[in-house]
Amino acid sequence: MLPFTYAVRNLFRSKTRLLQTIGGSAMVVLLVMASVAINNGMKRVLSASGSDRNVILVGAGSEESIQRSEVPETTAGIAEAGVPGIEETLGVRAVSSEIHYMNYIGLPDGRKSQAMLRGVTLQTLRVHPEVRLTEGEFPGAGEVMVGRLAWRKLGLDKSDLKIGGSITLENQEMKISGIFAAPGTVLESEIWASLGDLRVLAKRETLSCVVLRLNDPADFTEADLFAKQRLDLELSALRESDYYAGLSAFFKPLRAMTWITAGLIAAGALFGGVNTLYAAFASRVREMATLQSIGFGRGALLVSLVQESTLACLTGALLASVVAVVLLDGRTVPFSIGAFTLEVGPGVAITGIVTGLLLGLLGALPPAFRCLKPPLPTALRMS
Amino acid sequence: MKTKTTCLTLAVIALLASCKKEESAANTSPAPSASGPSQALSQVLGTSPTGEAKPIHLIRATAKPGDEITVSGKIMGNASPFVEGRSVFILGDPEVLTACNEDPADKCTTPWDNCCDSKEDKKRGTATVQVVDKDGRVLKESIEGVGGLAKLADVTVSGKVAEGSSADLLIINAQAIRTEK
Repeated sequence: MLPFTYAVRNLFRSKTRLLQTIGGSAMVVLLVMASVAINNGMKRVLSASGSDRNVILVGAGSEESIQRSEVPETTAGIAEAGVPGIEETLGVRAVSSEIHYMNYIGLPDGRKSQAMLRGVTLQTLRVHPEVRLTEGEFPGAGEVMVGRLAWRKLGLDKSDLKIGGSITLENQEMKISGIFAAPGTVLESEIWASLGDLRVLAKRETLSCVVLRLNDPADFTEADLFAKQRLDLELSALRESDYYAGLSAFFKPLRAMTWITAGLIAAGALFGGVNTLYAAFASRVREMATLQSIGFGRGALLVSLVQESTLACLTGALLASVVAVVLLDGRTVPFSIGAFTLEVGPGVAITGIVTGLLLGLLGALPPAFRCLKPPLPTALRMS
Repeated sequence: MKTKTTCLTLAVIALLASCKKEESAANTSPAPSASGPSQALSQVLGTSPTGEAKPIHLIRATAKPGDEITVSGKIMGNASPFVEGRSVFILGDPEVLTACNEDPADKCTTPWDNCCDSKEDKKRGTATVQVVDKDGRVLKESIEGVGGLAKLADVTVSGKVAEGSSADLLIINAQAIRTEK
C-alpha cells in the first residue's frame, strides 16, 4: 500500500483544484444537510403539534380543514356529558370550544400578513397543556396573546410583537396582552384571542371544533362512538395526532421538492467533480505507471487516488458542518401554517458526512479507473 | 459518456434509496377477531329480519323510542361508517343518498362517504345501527367484516328504536341483521 502521506501531499499539488473540490463538496453537503434539517423540522413540528390524547370534534365533511368546519355551540356541553374518559381536574372536564380562523391582520409596520388565529377560552389550557404563558396575561376582550414564533411567521422583528403593542383584525385594534410558548408545535406561531371576540370578528355563529383531552388515547373509540350515535350533530371525531399527520402528508410534495433540488445540485456537483478529477488524474497516468513499475499494485494506487478525493470531500463536509451549526442550527423557518426550528443534530451531521464520503468515492472511482486502465508499457510512454 | 451514465444512475439510486417507503393505507376491512363474534353478536347476525323493510327517510319521521322497525339500506353516509372495537355502523338510505361508485365518472376512493350528497340529505338519509348487550350498552367488539358487513354492503335490519331517537336522529338497537347478497 502507498503511504497515507502520499495522498495527503498530492492534495496540495494544485491548490486551486483543492479549493474547488472542497468548496464544491461543502456546498453540496450544506445543501443536503439543510434539506434533511428542513424535512426533519417540518415533520417534527407537525407530529409534535397533535397529541394522541386529544380528540377534535369537527363538522362532518371538514375533516381535512378545521377552518372550514362548523360545529354548533352546544356541542361542547353535549360532548362533555356524553363522552366517557375525558380528563378531569378538580371536577372540571378538559373540553375546549375553539374557532380557528385564518385571515390577514394589520401589522405594526402597516403591512398586512396572513395569520392563523384561534378563538379560545381558558379551557384551552386544559386540552393544550404544552401551552405556557411566558409573559403577560391570557387575552380578555379586545386583546390577543401571540405565540413566541408568530413574529417569524408574520415576517416581523421579534420586538414588533411585544406586550402593549397591537395588531388589527377586521379593522379592530387588538392589544397584545401576553406571549405564549408551546415548544416544538405550530401553536406558537398562532395568535390567540378570546372566543367571543373571534366569533364577532370572524362573523361566525358556530365553532370550528371542540377539543377533548382523554385520560387514555384508547378512549378515542368512545368519542368516535359518540359522533356516530349523534348523527344529528353532524360531527366527525379525529385524533389530533391524525389531523396533524394529515397536514404533514399534505406538505410531503414540498419536502420532496427540497430533496429533488438537493439531489439535482448534488448530481451536478458530482459530474463537475468527476470532470475535474478526469483532467487531474489524466495528467498522472505516467506517474501511476512508474509506481506500478516499482512494485505498487493497481489496487493500492486506486486506494490512494480515492483517499485523495475523499479527503478533499470530507474536508468540505467538515466545513459545511461548521457552517450548518453556525448558520442553520436554531434558525426558524416560516411555512403556511406556522414556523419550525431547524436542528442540526446527529442525524443531520451523519447525513452530511455520508454525503461527503459518497461524493469523494463516486467522484474519484471513474477517473481513477481510467487513469489506471492503460497497460504498463503504454502508460509509461504517455505524456 | 458510459461512465457519466453510470454515475447518474448511482446518484439516482442513492437519492431514491433515501426516500422512505410508507405502507399504503389501503382501505382494507379489518379482519374479524380470531375467536369469532360473541354469542350476542352471532345471535343478532343469525336472526332474520321480520316485517316489511322500509327506507330510512320514511320511517324516521314516525318512529318513536321503543318502536319495532325494519329498515334496509347500504352501509355508508360517513368516511368511516364503522366504529373500531364497537358493534355499530351507519346505515344510509339509497333512495336519498348516492354512493359515489354508482357514478362511473366518479373516481372517489371512499365512495361510502357520499361526499356528493348535501348535509341535509345525509342527515335525513342515515341511521345508526348498534348491537347492545342486555344492559343496553353497545357491544365492545368490531362488527366490520363479521357476517359480510362491509362498507357499501346492502343490509336489512330489524330492531327497536333506541332511547334518545327523534325526527333528527334515528338509532336502532338491532335484533336481526341480514346482509343482502
